[in-house]
Amino acid sequence: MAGPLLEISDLRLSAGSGKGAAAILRGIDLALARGRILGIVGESGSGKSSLVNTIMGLTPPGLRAEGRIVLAGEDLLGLSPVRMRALRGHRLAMIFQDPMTALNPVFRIGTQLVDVIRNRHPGTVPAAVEAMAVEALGRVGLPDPGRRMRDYPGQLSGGMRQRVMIAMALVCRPELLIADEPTTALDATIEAQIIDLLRRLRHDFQGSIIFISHNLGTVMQLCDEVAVLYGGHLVESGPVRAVLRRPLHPYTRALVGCEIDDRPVDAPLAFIPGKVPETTERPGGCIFADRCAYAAAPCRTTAPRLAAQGDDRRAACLRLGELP
Amino acid sequence: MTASPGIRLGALSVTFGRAIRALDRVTLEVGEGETVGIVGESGSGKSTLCRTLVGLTRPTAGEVEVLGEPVTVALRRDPRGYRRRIQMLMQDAVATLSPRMTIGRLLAEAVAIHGLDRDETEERIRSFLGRLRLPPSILGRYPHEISGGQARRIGVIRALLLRPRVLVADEPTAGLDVSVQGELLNLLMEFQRELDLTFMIVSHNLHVIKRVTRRTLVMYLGQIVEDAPTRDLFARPAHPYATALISTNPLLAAEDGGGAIILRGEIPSNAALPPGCRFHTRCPVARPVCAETMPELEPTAAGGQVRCHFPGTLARPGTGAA
Ligand SMILES: Nc1ncnc2c1ncn2[C@@H]1O[C@H](COP(=O)(O)OP(=O)(O)O)[C@@H](O)[C@H]1O
Ligand SMILES: Nc1ncnc2c1ncn2[C@@H]1O[C@H](COP(=O)(O)OP(=O)(O)O)[C@@H](O)[C@H]1O
Ligand code: SF4
Ligand SMILES: [Mg+2]
Ligand SMILES: [Mg+2]
Repeated sequence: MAGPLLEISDLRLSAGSGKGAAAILRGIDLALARGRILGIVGESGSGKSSLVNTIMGLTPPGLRAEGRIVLAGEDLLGLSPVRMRALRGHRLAMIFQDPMTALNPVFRIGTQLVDVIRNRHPGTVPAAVEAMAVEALGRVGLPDPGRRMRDYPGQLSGGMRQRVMIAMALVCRPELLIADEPTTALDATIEAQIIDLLRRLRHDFQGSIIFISHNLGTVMQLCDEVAVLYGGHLVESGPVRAVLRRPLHPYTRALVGCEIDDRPVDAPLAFIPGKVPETTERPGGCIFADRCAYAAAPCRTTAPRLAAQGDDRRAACLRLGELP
Repeated sequence: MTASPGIRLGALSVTFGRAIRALDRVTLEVGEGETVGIVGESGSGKSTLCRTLVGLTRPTAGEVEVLGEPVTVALRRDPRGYRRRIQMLMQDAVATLSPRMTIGRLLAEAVAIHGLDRDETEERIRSFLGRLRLPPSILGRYPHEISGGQARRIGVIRALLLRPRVLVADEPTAGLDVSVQGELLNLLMEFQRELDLTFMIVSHNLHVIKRVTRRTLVMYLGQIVEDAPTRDLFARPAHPYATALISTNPLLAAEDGGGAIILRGEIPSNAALPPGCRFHTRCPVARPVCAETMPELEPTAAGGQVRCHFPGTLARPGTGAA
């Protein structure tokens, strides 16, 4: 099929009305091609989880989502809750930072995996379902998968539980897999294993992946593209290496500068002064102006639009042309 | 390293229950005024090491000396004096603040038991608040009313009010966004220099360790496996675990210097330690001897120490260097 797998336009997520109204996503435009891996980065509170939860149709009561989220031609925001529930576990799958939010501690992992397969592939004979489950656990690197089927989630390490979650996503054969900080709680060497696993599986699995992380190094290793979120805005996007090695937007520059620099020991570490904007703030200009090292007078009154920078990059900053 | 040791550990072992060997014969000397980083997998004993230093955990065997005096002796002789000389920033800053006391009371109590002058203390608190960019009104708030970042700053004030000579920071920025970690770490490093603190900092953020320490300890399953000048460690790690750990962060290399080394398997349990080298079950360059004989911590040419039969032999994928 031509065109992107996922196309998000002017996505807004808000709560309440009047003076106390909260704007969580403030108009996101984003497209993701089939088979690509997109990283999403940004400080806590930038709206990363809100964005992917909205894609999954998991908007909490009281919040309003407006705009368009088109998955392979179908606008997800227009779907009924029933239809949306049917998409989850078929065309959309998600893994979380804490696998225990999705795994039930009192059922064996084999039972839970078998349920997912039965639901996804109804009518499959039990022996085949069982075989698929064992095969999936083997593919995600669980040693002795046949025996592991009988384990309870509590008997597995954090890394192994995350592998089980990936196995559940795999058997769904989703078009879009969303991973919200799946490696944040893991040790660096286990995180590297999970990233390596996702890289190897991307070919098996053919769909696209959205991967949220606050670890820019991990994003660089796994993703093709990256989107930088700040205060509910997408402020920069593009190929991962280009963006993280030569960031354009002042926010991306600042964020990257906190994680990489070649300065000597004794030189102070970089940081971003101030804090992320509250959802109730309604700045007239650039959302980052208060903390931006390059902000000038127009930045406080004119909101920059996300504009193309060359073939494959985009950034939302009024002063891009004037920055060093 | 200076001549007088700020911290000296002699074959320090800590065993929990009968089987969990959290620290196993750790020997170490840290000079007064030195800043040392500690990295390692969770469960490798980093927190236990910190807690043993401040006297919160008792050694099962071996010696712990701080500023030239065994901790057990110091704690018996003058427990308050000892707690003033060495302070610890805990991994979970918020949980260490008593929920029913205002921040102001909490700080006052921390100094009151040490009989410090009240006016001088208030003056010091005010000056700390200013430098840590905390509003004076925070003194009237309760711990649940302040942010995680503010709680960490209050923890720093509480630790430094007593003018310690040794500061142990166990993941002082865990849970904070990298965007704000730098500010807190800069302040800690300023205080380290001003007070000439002997400073041990545990972090899983390798960039932080690289930027604020001159010496780094790498721990694995209760042992120090590498102890090296930080610059050398990042440029040429000798231990295969250290090499793999550093390879997981591509941002640490100026260029795209090869991919991550993927270790097989998981960290074995402290209750069932592998024989021989503790790392051999996951080591990409292990040979038969590694499963049989535990390597000792041996000096390296670069002036560090490494615990490996084949140091420096693990190459990063995509690089020719060994
Ligand atoms: N259900 C909700 N109601 C109101 N505000 C919310 C809700 N969920 C999240 N928020 C707010 O939206 C902002 C973005 O949150 P989140 O999407 O979790 O960010 P991130 O995942 O980037 O840390 C935060 O300020 C958060 O407090
Ligand atoms: N109070 C305790 N009782 C029992 N086991 C403990 C206790 N404290 C730590 N341990 C165990 O000791 C080992 C080392 O733990 P710790 O020092 O916290 O490691 P790290 O800080 O490197 O993650 C782990 O196996 C941990 O489970
Ligand atoms: S001693 Fe052997 S197993 Fe241990 S780290 Fe060195 S090479 Fe690897
Ligand atoms: Mg989130
Ligand atoms: Mg710890």
